[in-house]
Amino acid sequence: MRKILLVDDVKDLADVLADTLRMNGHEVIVSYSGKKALSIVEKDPEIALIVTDILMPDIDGIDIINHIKEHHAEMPIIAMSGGGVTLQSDDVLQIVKEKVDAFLKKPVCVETFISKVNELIGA
Amino acid sequence: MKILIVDDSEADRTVIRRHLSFGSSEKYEIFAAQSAEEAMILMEENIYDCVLLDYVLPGMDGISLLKRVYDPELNIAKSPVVMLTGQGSEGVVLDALRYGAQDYLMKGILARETLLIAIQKARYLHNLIVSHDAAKKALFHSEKMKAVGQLAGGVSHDFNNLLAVIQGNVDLLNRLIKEDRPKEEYTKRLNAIGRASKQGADLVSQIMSFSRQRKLEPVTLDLTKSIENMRDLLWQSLEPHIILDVKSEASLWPVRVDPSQIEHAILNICINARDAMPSGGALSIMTQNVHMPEWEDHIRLHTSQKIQDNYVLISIADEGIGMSEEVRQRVFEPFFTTKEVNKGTGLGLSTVYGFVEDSSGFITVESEEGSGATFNVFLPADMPAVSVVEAL
Repeated sequence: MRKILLVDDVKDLADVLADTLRMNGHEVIVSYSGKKALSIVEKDPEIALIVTDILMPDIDGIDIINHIKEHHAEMPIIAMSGGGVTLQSDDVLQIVKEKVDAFLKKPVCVETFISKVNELIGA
Repeated sequence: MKILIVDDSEADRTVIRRHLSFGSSEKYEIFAAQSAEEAMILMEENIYDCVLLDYVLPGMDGISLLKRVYDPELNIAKSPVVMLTGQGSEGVVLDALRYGAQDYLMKGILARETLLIAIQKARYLHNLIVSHDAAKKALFHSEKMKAVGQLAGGVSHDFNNLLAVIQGNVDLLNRLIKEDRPKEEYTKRLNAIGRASKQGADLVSQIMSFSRQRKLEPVTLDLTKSIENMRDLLWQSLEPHIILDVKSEASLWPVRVDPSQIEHAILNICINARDAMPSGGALSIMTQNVHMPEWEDHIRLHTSQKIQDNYVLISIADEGIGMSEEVRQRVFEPFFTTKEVNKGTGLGLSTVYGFVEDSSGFITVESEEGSGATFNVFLPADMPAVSVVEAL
């Protein structure tokens, strides 16, 4: 089975989304930090999809997206965000939307989330 | 151009009218007042391009009039003013300039050219002050809007995350129920929803305190007892590798503060101390009576508030990473945070600052990079007059 890597520093959110994916038959690896997520991507060749939050401490979602685009151009990405912390970050979100395969606004609609995942890597 | 001449001498008013009426391309509309009282009403109700104000007037003099019509915030009157004085009255001239006149003229030697230049200069200077003030207000407004934007952005980001946790768990819970899964699986979902809504409530309460919308409910309080009662809460909030040390002065004076807010303030400072000591250390909370006048000089250095008779000092010291001078100076600023995204709103210490100020106290912080930090909260002691005498 192809794995999904889910990255969010809000632990409760990462956990519930991961459990939802698992109930839909997906194998999920959860990372609460961007830094750890990057090392997982490099070590685990079975990862087929990344779902990442944008604003995170250490390495944020933008760094993750740039890294994936550069080193694993084929890997689909779903980004999610709770909106801008600063006014400038809304511009940043616009750039992100153009780079990823799907962009979801928090609170994430579970049905949309699952259907996007299925669309990108197959149910 | 609207000119008001304030002069009780008809001859002097005529000289000025003549200077302004002949040989000038500028069209002057001239108004006259013969007393300061009359001028005061005119100057409050109208704006003139220039007021030519004589010093010697029947009843109230020109300087007294200036004092009454000038706006202390802007340090000028609504209209530009040129003071007219007799020769050898430097004192009057200085007072006129001090109370918002832009220029002055000597009446005996009033040439037409000089009068026109003085009017022009007075208008220019007045306009400069008004536009500077307008620019300052606009800047203040835009800074305020930026701050509101930052707050709204930060709050909506944090709230959306909490809503996402609730939404996600509700969806999953529905599915668990539909699939008739064992009840034990529900607990995890319900707990996560409970945590998220509690965090939401904390966020709201923090915003309310920050915007000072919450009314303080001060009561007379024994801080030794309050801190003792907080031990469990502090113990839960601190990491196991942090050693808590509480020392209270034996007969600590009571204070009059809002009990839940002082608890919140102490907890907030302690949590910052905890975060500053990732590899552990000692956190000490010390209380003491601050006697006057020994402490007066120290207190004057740190507050512009009215100094109280006596204070109680709560010092909270950690052995953490400390802070640079730049951080130390900004530590109470709203939205200023050195913590990671989602770990701090930058409102905690600024809320503490607001609460302490509203309680007629003040707060200081001492710190150096690498050598810990000490927060000192000074709260006014609340004691009946008799016990003050006894204590001193």
